[in-house]
Amino acid sequence: MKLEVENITAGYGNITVLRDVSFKVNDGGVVGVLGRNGMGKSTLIKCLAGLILPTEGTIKLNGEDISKLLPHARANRGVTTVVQGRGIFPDLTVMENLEMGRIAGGRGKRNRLEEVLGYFPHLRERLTQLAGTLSGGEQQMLAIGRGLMTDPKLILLDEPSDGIMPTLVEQIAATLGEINRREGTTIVIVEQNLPMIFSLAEYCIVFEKGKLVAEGTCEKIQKSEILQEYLAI
Amino acid sequence: METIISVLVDATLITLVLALAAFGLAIIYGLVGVINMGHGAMLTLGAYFTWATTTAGVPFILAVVLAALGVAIVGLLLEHIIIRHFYDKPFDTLLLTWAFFLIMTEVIKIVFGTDFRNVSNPLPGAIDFGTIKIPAYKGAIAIFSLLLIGATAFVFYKTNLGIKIRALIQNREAASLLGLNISRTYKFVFCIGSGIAGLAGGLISPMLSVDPYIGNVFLIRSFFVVIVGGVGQLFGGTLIGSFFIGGAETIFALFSKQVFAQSIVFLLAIVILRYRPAGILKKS
Repeated sequence: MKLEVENITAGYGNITVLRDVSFKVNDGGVVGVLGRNGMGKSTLIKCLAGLILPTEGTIKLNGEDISKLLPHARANRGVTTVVQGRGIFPDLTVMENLEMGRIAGGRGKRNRLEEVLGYFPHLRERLTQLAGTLSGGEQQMLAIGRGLMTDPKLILLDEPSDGIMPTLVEQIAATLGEINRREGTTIVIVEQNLPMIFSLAEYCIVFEKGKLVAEGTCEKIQKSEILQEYLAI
Repeated sequence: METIISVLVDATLITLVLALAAFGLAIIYGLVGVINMGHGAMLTLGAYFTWATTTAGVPFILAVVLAALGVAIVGLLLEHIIIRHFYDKPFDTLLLTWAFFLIMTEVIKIVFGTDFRNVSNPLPGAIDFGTIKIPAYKGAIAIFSLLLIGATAFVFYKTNLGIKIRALIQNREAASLLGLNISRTYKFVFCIGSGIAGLAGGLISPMLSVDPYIGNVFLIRSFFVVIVGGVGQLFGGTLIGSFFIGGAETIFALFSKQVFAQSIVFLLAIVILRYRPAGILKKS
């Protein structure tokens, strides 16, 4: 799914966070969003997901303007979002969480349970367990797996490594890469963990004070002084 | 001993009738977070719809079904025209539903007058268990109340619709990001809660005289039921809350006057809420 963001401005009430942001993600591409805390990365994800609507500019999915659509309408067009903090349903079982991904949109989506459990085999033995009792890493796997149950064409991820053991971060990054390669799913990932983002994304955009200040291939970003300038690394 | 058993049976019946009356409120308050002060008016409307249709010759059961549908439609209109614009503003919805209650009570007075009306009891008589006699209709209503709560629990815990509603209560944002149409689901829940209030009003109507204030009898008690049981604790909470508010009153009335028993129960409710502010079954 091709994503085109054109000159969007967005924020909360009277506070503008994103200013005149434009970028494109090709069908099947993986874009990493970099920047220090408070620079507008999560706001960008919320804006793409429909949780906040842009006051200016457009967001297009495969050419269709979705700027004014609410989250559920975007989800039903193939966008799934894994929010920071995972957003699982703690008092539902793992199975119910996954099932919610399939049924929430109300249409007869194909059942991807076996595929999802193939990506995250660890969840298979936890299916009857309440999601709130899972470890942080397991919850993140569940959040991504639940998103996959919606049969997405575009996955938006906000800090998937947040609060997770390094070994699990590598595992999750590898799984996301596999999903991208195998299914051609477009991915936009906000992440502070640079090794994770560089292992997964081919293109990066860098945010500073709500503006897109640099972009390029991950290789180019790594070699340039952008990391030092905008990420203080 | 005989008296004690008789009082316990009576307390059980009253618990289940009150649970039926409070269940619509428990659904709307517990699931969509609207403190529905219009609940009393919905019960009253259900009773009047039942009276009007049975008077016109419609069989009682069909009349009650029509009452439930009628009040569900009224609830749907209320939600669509007014309430949906004020979710997340509990004080606003409280005032708006209170306004609905006042307006609806006046409309009922204009349309039906203030005279007492009677819906004839479809199951007169009593079931004799030796020394204990159970009024047949009250017994049937108690069983229906249990079945209704059980059936709703089944939907809530064993169906896709139940998964969606439980997910929505736990994390509205995540549910919408997965594709759930939040406003449509709220509308549906509000409509069902209203319909159940109408159903309860219709079913209760043969037990009381129907007048424009019949719902008021249950409004305050229903609130205590929901709050004491625990907001969002639809099944166990409603039953336990109903027992504390309705059943316990019957038991206390064995030892004192009715008014005194009522006072004790409400005092008890306040004490419970002091130590369990989220209700008996809900963690703070």
